[in-house]
Amino acid sequence: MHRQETIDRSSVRPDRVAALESRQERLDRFRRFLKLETERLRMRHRMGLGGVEIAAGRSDQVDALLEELCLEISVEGGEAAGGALPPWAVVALGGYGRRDLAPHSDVDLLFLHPGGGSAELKPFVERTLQVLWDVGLTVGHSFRSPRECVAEARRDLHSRTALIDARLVTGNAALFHALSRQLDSDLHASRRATDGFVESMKVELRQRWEKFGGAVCLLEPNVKEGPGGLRDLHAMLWVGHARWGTRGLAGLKAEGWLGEREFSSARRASGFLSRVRNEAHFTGGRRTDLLTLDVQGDLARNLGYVPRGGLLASELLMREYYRRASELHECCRAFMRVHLKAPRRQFPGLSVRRRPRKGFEVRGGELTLRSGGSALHGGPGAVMDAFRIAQEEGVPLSEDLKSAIRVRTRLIGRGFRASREATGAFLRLVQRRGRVAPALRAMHETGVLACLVPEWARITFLVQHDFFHKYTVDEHTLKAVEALDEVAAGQDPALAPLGRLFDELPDVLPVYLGMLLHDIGKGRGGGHVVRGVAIARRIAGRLRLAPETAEKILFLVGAHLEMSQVSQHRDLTEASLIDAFAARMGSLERLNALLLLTYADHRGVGPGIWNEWKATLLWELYSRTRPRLAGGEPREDDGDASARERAFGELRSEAPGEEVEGYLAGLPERYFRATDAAGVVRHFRLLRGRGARPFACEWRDLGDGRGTELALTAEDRPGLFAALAGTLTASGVDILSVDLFTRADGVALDTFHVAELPGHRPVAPGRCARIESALAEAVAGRVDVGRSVERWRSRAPRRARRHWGRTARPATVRFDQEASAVSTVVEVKAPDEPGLAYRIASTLAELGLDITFARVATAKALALDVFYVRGGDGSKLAPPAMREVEEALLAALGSRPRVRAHG
Amino acid sequence: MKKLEAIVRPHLMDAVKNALQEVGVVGMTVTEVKGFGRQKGHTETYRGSEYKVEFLPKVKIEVALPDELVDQAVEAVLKTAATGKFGDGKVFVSSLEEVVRIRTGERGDAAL
Repeated sequence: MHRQETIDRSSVRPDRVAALESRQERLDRFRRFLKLETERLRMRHRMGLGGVEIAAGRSDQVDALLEELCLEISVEGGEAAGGALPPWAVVALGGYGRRDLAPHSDVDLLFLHPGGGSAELKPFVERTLQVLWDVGLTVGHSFRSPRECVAEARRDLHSRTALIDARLVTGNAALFHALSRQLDSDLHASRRATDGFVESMKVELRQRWEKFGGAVCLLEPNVKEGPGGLRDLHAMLWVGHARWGTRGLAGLKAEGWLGEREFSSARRASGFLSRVRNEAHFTGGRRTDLLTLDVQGDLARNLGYVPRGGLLASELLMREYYRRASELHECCRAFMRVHLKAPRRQFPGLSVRRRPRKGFEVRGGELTLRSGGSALHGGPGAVMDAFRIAQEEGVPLSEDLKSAIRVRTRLIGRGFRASREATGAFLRLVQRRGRVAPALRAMHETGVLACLVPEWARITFLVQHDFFHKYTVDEHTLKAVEALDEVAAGQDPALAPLGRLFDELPDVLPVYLGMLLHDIGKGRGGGHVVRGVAIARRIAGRLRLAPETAEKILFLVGAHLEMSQVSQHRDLTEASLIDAFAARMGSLERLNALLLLTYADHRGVGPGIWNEWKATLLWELYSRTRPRLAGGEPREDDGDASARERAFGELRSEAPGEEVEGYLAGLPERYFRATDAAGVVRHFRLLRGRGARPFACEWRDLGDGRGTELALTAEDRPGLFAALAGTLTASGVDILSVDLFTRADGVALDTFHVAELPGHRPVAPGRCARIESALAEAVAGRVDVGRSVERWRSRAPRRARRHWGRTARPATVRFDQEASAVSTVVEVKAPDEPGLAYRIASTLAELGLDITFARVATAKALALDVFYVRGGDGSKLAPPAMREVEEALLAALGSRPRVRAHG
Repeated sequence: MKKLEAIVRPHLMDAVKNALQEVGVVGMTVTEVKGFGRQKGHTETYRGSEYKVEFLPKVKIEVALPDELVDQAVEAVLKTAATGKFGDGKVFVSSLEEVVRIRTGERGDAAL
């Protein structure tokens, strides 16, 4: 752009006839000038002139206008005041100061006065501003002396950054130099002020990124303020100026603070972003820095993009935008990391170098190449080593290491993808629960992911045209994997129910890979699910996955929308729907994996998409489907009425209505959730039949070798459950599961699912009478159950163990204070063995705890026992009590049996 | 003018919406809501740990109507949202003092 030309044109001023010209006429003259120049600029922009040049041209336009306007008004002002005005200067600040002004951006002006006599200048400033407003410019202005400027810059970060780029537009040059000198001596030369500035810059950067979406790949990014926006460039320039006094990108490069590659990528990015921003301003006819979905099409067309390869023009524009912005963002982050190291603090362990591994080492909390390192020269395996070691150490890769990998990846190319070494290493990375997302993100950023899975490139920087999504497909996918990691890590108690699903998965690879590939079919026209399955099948083949594993992944990709659709759009109370859904799932593992994936998929869409409402529906579907897949006794259909209502209907014929009603009212709500109508009826009869006896029970063969159900009722007392469990164990009966309830009136109602220890058969009918009398003795407290158990154990040393766990995992104890209003929930996970329930129950009883509800269940040689307990005083456990309980339980479970008194 | 608020089961939302449109309702507001009625929510157990479902998820449909459409609209909701089981929801009808279309400033029936 030719600055002089613009200035000359503005000087084709209607000869200085200010006195004869009316105010309106002057306004029209400046308006005409601005309109014409803007149009001229727009044409040059459309013809393809670069973003930086256009922004400079706009700045020159405003310069020319200001020069002329200020001259005229100051002359008038001087005449009116009967002499010359005190010295003044008009100074351009911020982007305008850098000659980087987008067509409709604010014009930031400083009217400088010498200090005293500012009152005489006021009318001049006011009249100038009035005209500027009236011609349609948005002006940000201040009216200060140099001293006031310095004070303001000290106080406010934005004033300081604005002043960094101060430039004299017109007026008294000596006054402007006074400002520059004072800024340099009082501010820029002060070490303390600089450190403070740089620190607050860092904070501001982070806050701004967070405020503008926290990611480059937003579907509607802000080209100026967002991560990867032009502000990232400005921040680098400001820091460069504060630290080393450099000006512009070229200055940073010349002084060696920016490498050749970083320099050219930052320059390319800023040129592109400026051009897009200029277009947005021209198209919108106003200041618009937010690239909303509805304008992206127009922008793309005006910038000359044409649809290609099944992608829309807007998708191509945005893809380039994300690529450039990512480059700039990376460049800015690396720059800040390298040059803004926090002052050294004495953090042992942070600065200490850890043991070097395979040519890499952890330094400053990052994985780097060892000095002079040639670690990456070993081919694909060496590249994958970097990700593996970073994952194991739990640290990110350093910027230098990432760039080195980027270069290597390009060199290795196809051979990389095909190599068994690389795919094997990749699959190991994806199996490390809780730590997968950082590895995938690093692989994504270095291009290794797109190299291993070329289909990934297709969804990289791909815009999604829908109402809900906030990120591009790749970013959405990585965010979803991060959500899975968060569940797996188990730090957030709110995610504990999902965490338990994770624990049940025999293999986490399918859910992680399914997550990575769930949207892989996008960007190829409609039906991304079907396309995605086909693509995922190809990828699974290339990764040489076992057929069963591949099938699990393909299932997840194919079904990834189904669970939320069914939960929101179907009647979940309809048994046939649940049957069909269970059949579609096919196994509990798939159901678990799909719920996890559905959750994470929602989380990856954007903040606020996952909510309680959707969660409740999904869990409703889950908990209705689970019993159909979990094995065990299938629950009777609730049908139209609940178990409570159906049982009531059935029992009314055999007992007075009030008695039945009273009985049902005394049972806790969860009893009806766990018990079908027939069970409720049986229990009522059992209790009624007990009459005044202290104890009654009923045996029922479940058929098909599924064991025996023992329903049992007695007056509750502390230690009752331990006594029952111990007696059963001592009688050679294995407890598979228990549901324990206590009625409001203190009657315990327990249902044991049991089997003979040897052979795991139903309890022989002939033995029932003997066991029953032993139970009666135990309930009455007439035998020492602890001793009976010890006797049994010494007679039958471990011989009857049902299964051996693959690895003897240590027992864990978990507490939950939220699940119940009145009790503390104790969850014990331990390798299953005969007598386990007794051991836990007796430990709890010894501690004087009251068990109000229990559920003992076994899955894959691992017992998961849940006890609702209350302290002796009937309240929830306090933290010290929880510690005591945990220690006692771990001692009881960790060590071999030891003789303990029965409580 | 009347305002009709219908609390219905989520999965029946589309059916209710279509039925209302057939009656001649032109616009509506749909919200995901949670609440309970006489059924008072319920409690679920999942592997022994119980989680309380005190508030059941429902969908709230809000419609502003001229008086003469109200009966048909209520009828349309009843026909489509009823399953006969607990938790089918409710319809609230209240009178509406004023409606203003923001774009044009039209008021009353003209703004519906």
